[in-house]
Amino acid sequence: MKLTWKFIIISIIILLGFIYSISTGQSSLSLPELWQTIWGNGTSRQELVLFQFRIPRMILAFLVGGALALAGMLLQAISRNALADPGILGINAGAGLSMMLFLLLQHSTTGLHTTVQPFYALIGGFIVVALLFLLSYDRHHGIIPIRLIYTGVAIAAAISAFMIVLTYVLEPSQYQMIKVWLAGNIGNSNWNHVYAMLPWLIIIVPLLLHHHRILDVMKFNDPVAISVGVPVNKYRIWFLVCSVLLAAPAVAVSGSIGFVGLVVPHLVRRLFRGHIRMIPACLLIGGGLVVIADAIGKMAVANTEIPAGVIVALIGAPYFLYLLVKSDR
Amino acid sequence: MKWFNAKKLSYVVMAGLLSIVLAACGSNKDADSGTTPAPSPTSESGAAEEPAVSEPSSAPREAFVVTDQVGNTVNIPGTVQKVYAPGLEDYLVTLGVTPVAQWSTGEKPQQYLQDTLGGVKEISFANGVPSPESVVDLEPELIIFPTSFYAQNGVHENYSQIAPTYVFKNALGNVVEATETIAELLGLEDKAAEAIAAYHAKLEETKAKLAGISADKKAIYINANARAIFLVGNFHYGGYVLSELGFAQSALVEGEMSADISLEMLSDLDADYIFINNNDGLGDPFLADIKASPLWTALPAVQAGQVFDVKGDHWRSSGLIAYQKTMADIVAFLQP
Repeated sequence: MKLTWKFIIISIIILLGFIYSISTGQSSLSLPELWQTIWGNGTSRQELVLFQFRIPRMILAFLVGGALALAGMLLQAISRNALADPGILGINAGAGLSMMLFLLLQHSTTGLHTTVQPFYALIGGFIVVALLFLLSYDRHHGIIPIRLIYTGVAIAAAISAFMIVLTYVLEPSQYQMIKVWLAGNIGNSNWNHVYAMLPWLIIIVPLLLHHHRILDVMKFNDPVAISVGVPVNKYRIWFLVCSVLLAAPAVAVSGSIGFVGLVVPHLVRRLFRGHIRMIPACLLIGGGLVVIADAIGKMAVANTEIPAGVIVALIGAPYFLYLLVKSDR
Repeated sequence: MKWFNAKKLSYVVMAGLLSIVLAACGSNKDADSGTTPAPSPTSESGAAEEPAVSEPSSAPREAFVVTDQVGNTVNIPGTVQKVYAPGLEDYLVTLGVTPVAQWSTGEKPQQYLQDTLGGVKEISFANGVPSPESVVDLEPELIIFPTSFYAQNGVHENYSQIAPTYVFKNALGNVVEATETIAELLGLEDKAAEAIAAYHAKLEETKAKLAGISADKKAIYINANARAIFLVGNFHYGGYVLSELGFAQSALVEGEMSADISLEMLSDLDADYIFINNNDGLGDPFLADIKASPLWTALPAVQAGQVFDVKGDHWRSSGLIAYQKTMADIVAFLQP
């Protein structure tokens, strides 16, 4: 299939996902009412539901999904391992732990603003990256990709265990909130969450597009990459930092939505060659996946919502297994 | 292939992301109003229904401004007919108020209040505070959250656009004070004074009845669920009631909200009376393990036959109604 057609089809699927997302929710808003409201003829309640609740929630889902997919793509490129993603390497856990501490310490809703949250998550994310770097760095060979994965898995396990220990000291209501947040719930997102997430993508995505050829070269062995003039280690650190700058803010605003960073780059790699195409494709498909998952979660069960992270895992896990089985053959 | 030139693509992506920024800026004018009063009723199609916020034209009191327990400024309407206060239903029923919707575990609401609240819409908190869309159609005039943890991470920003939203730091910790605060918000101070007086009278009466039994005795309330048993301290729930009635606490929960105990810690359980709630059967498997242990049968309370299986979610709820029902249960067990 021609490249342009692939992008057109993906865009149409995502557009349908958007329409499904803004037309579903617990508040009653029929399609004609939705249409009227879009053109400024809705009631104040309808405007509130559409412009303050549904649209920011949908945009946030898209941005979070895109950011996590891109972070996964970067980590898979630099580790040359298709199993790498911000969850497996412990970056989400690190960001999650610092967010958890942030939520626990912030008793007042008038305290720190939502847009500041990503900075808290970044603290945890960067601590994990620093650990990853220190423990997988070799004086002679720089960062060793396989050691990066092993270190990440260990760090993720340690942080998750620590978080479980922390839940024992929480009051039931605190525990409930943290549990839900960890499940990846964007049901209470608003424009402030969008503002908190957007700048990171605006900065990082063009930078990645600018360096797409270097990402392409990363898949080769280090000596090959170095022979074509790419200082692999310098870029490995640089892309590792970029992946944190994408994943940590996503965790800050949405909790932990797993699997996007793992599944989407896999799918994208099957459809496209070269990072110049994979970067926009990850953004679109990752974003679209979370938008659709969130919309399904809104309507799956009567009188309640299932967190987007749970739906992504329900869709993502079987698909990932299918990919694995298929690629083995 | 030339179409996918890196520079061109960067521009396209940048333009896409920037358009989101612009859309966001355009639509956020209303969002900035934050804690301002709820949207005023419109003259359009929604006006046929009841207005979202009643103007206090015929109200006996004026609208007023309060600062809630986490520092938000809240505009309280003169008359409040429609309240949404998830987790505070006991307090509302005490004041004779029926909320527009009630808290639910996802399976059921608070059972002990269903005589009064049967038929009131249930909103599940199984997945945390539900999205504001679950409430917006009910058009509450005032929203009250019992703890600051309910209002975090965007929840307060969203709900306060539906109606003025008052947040307690932790209403469940001091039931009488919280009842008074809610009564002030709703203009029902007289009703609150009456209910609190009745509660104190019941407390004194029960205390007097149990005076001979509670003197120098320790009692513990245990809440069991599928994975653990929790000894409940005297800050809330059944633990609070036992303490109010004059029973001393087990050293295991002194100064604690609750403490979960393992099988090995059972022998440290220093209590003359044990009240166990099996969470409507959820805790049965774990309780069966505990009760089969020789450490359990060796406990003085067990040997003296002073272990009581309590039923009902009022034992694990806070509020004047829950506490009075709990007192009645305790009397029935200890002074049949």
